[in-house]
Amino acid sequence: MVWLAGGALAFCLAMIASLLALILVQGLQTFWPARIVRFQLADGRAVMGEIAVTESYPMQGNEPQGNDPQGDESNKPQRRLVRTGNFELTNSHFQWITDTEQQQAPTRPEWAATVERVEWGRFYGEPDEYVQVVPRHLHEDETALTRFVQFWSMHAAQLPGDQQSMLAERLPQIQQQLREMQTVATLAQKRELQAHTSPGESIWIVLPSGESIAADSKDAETLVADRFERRWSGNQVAWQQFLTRHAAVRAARQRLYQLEKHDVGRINHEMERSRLAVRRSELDAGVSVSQLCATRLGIEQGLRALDQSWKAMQQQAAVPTSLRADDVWQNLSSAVLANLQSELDRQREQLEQDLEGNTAKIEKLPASVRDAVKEDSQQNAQASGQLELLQQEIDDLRAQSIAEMLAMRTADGQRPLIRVGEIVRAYLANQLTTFQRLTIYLGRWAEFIGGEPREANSEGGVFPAIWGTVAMTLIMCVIVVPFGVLAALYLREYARAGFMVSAVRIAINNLAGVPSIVFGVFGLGFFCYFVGAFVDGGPPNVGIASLDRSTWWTYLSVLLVVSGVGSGLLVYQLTRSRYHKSGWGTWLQVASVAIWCLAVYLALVVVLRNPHFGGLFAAELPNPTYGKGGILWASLTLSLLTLPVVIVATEEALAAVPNSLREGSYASGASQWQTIRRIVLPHAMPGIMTGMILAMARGAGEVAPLMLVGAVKMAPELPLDSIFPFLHGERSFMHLGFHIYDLGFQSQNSDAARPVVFTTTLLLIGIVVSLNVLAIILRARLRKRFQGGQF
Amino acid sequence: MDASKHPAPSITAPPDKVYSSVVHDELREEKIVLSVEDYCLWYGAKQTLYDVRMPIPAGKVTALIGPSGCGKSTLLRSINRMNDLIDSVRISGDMKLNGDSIFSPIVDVIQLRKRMGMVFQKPNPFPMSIFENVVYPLRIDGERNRAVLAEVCERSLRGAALWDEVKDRLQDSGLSLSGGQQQRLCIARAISGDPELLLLDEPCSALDPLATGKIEDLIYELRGEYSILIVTHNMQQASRVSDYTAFMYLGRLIEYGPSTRIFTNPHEKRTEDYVRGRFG
Repeated sequence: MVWLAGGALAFCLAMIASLLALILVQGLQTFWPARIVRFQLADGRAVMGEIAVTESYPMQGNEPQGNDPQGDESNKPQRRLVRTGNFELTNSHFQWITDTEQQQAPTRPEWAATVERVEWGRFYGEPDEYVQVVPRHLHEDETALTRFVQFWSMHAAQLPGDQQSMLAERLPQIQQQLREMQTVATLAQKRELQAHTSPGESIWIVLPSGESIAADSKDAETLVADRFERRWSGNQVAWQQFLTRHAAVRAARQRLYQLEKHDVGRINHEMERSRLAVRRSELDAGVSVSQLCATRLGIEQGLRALDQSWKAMQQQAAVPTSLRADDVWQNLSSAVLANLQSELDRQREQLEQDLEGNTAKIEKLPASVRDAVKEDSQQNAQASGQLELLQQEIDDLRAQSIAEMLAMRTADGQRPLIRVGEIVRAYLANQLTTFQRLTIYLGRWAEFIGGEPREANSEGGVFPAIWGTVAMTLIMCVIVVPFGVLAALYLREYARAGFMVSAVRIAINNLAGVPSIVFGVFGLGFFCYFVGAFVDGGPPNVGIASLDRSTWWTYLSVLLVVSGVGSGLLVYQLTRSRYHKSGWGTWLQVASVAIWCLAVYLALVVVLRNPHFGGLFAAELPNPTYGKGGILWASLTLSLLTLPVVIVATEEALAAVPNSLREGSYASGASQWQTIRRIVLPHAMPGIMTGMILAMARGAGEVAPLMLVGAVKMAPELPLDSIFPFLHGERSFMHLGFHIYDLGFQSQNSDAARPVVFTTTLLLIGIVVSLNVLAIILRARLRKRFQGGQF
Repeated sequence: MDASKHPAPSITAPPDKVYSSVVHDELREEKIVLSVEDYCLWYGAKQTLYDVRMPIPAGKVTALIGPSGCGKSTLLRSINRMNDLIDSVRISGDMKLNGDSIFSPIVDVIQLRKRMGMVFQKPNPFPMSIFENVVYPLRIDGERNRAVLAEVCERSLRGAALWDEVKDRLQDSGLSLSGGQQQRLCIARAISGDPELLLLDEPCSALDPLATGKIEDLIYELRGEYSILIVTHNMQQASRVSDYTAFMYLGRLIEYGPSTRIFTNPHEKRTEDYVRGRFG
């Protein structure tokens, strides 16, 4: 028997250990930078990448017999799953390669590089050339002249006939002048660039047609460049240049991302808020102004556009300094401008009239709505100003981040250009020292833990998921522990043992056995669709008719009377001496239960059919705020799920408090609550902590109910952040458990995601373990207090 | 309280109807701190105490002796109404602590318990520091003044003859003390509220002889300052520490008088048999 029992234990331990070992091995090796291998295939193709899996497979008779590097003694050739990357070229991330397909033994090219990108996943190739685009400097005169030419090509038709012929006569001259100017400028800039070349660098001229010509060639003297390119050719030179420039370019690109995501997002958020304020005031006042607002917005935008185009025209029509000598141009310009101005003035007049009408209508609105509309219009004007400023910076950064590119040569000879700004990390996989490998490994871990996901979650980090998991677990704890402890206190300390208590205890234990998805369904139906919808839009939003106001007040006063009577009965029962109960006792109990039932019913009616409550987020309707999955509802659902764990653990802890301590406390003249607070609870605290630990472990690892009540594949915002009110209970969130499910089974590219699944699993286990360790340390410190020794 | 409201079930009618307690005359001259008046008690349907009528003298040590199950602990726990905690208990009769009824409906049991101190069989120090253990009764009354607490703590620990042993480590856990020290700590806690009556429920039964001796010395010293009612199984102890001894048997008070008389020349045959060790 002892062998059977011991064997069973050993078997269980072995299974758990092997599961953990699998996750550890797979999870830890994912980020190790592997070497790149190049396969030359019999059909002439060449493939380069990291080997993900190597396995044997049974040889079939009809397989073509190729060059088998393993020799003939093994009848089972191997096949390898190679991560080839380059998705935009090959439409796959992975490729199986069997030994029989290979023409020669695989090699490890010295210059093969692994490139991790923001988009399209990894790229494997050899650095071939580093390209930096340099725009051609535009001199002030040249810009003015170009504008002037453009102006006349657009507005020539507005001139009278004789002046048109005069223009036609002179335009070719200007164009000639412009071209000369451009040639000179090109030449000057070319010389300057050539004077400052670094070793291995060459300068190329790119024509407006897109054709590029080496700056050293003879016919380059008379060209007009659209832009220049500085090129560093050759593996080593290109790579060196990449290493020196990468950090700066990447930083520009990240700044761009920050601006687009946060700053623009913040401005949009402000605009949305003022729009909601208008909507709220509308609802309060019972009028609709959305049409008026939209019209006003259109008019204001039209006016701004008019101003801008007038400024642009004036600029275009300004006679360049090089032509000032000829008076004719001045006359021609002012004639056309006068025409254009009268046209624009007519449009402006029309718009201003519209605006006046609009303002008049707005003035007639109730004051609260009017203020909100004015606020909104100010907000919009301010926001468009801010956006314009931002746009300038965004354009600059974008130009910077796309100006530099790395040309990579793939195994099959293609040579795509990769933008340096989109390269997250790149390394020469076959030239690394162990220390460099370790640095890359740790860097990848840091990105994984602290970064945001990219590439449909299969690359990048899982920080939002970690944050979401921890936030949800902590909120759950904050909810479930007080509730569970209070319930257990009642069951163990106050309730008189009997049928009811046993029934409740059995029910709680059964609750622990209910499948978690059932809790998810309940959470969705009750919290999201009922409580959430009620919070959003009041009784009508959940299909309950409000009472009319006088009836509601009647209900409220009846409720107050009934609960007053109930409280009186309760106090009477509590204060009656234990040894002097009369025959009325049972009747009193029945009566007070009935009265409390009635009070609860009335309270429900008063709350649910309240005509004065129109919802906290009625302005956002029909878009739900709390009436959908969110971290608050998810935490509440998991609290229900883990409540039995806490109750059972707490009850056991309370039962373990020696009765002699309670008696000692009572004998000292303590009331029951004082005894519980000062003696029983502190003594039971380690046990309560154990319950909390178990609940946390259960809650953090739960996935099924979360899919229904708020966990999502990709959440744009964190549920707990530094923006007031810090905890955003309505936001959906990312969760590590759900992340694993999504990556492993819902991803379009699950082969590529598989390593990350293991790593994420490792991380989830790590988080659960560290939350537990934290709680265990806390418990140990508490426990020490009750086992003698120092405080 | 009217006993007729709680009629004794007929199955547990007293075995011999011609019975009355023998209370010696010396007690008539004593000042009385607690008087038990026709007190009966039932656990569910089973009667455990029968018409106990017993005056407890003030400033003296009174011992309750008797074989196991005779009801002496039950009687003791009735005095500060610790039996309230047991659901099935019913009573008749009453007790008066310095003239105030204990079982009257208007009595606040919390206030009542504050007027007495109680020490249990097994030492039950709370899981707190020695200091907090002693001042616990004051703490629950909301006393915050450190000076007051410290003064009470020292006085009680001196009273319990523990001060010299623990004065340097008042912040240590009460659980770090030895068994005998723990019991004296409990006595210190019991006397920190200046009780009108100190109830000791076999305070030495869980202690070794040395610790027992110390507790007995302590009880002897506390005589005069406090009125003490002690339940004990140990007749030598009762004869050593007590001024008066009450012998109980099968829920009845058999004989009650000065200890010297009870142990040397008892009036009742059953008392004599018991103190000579012929049964029990």
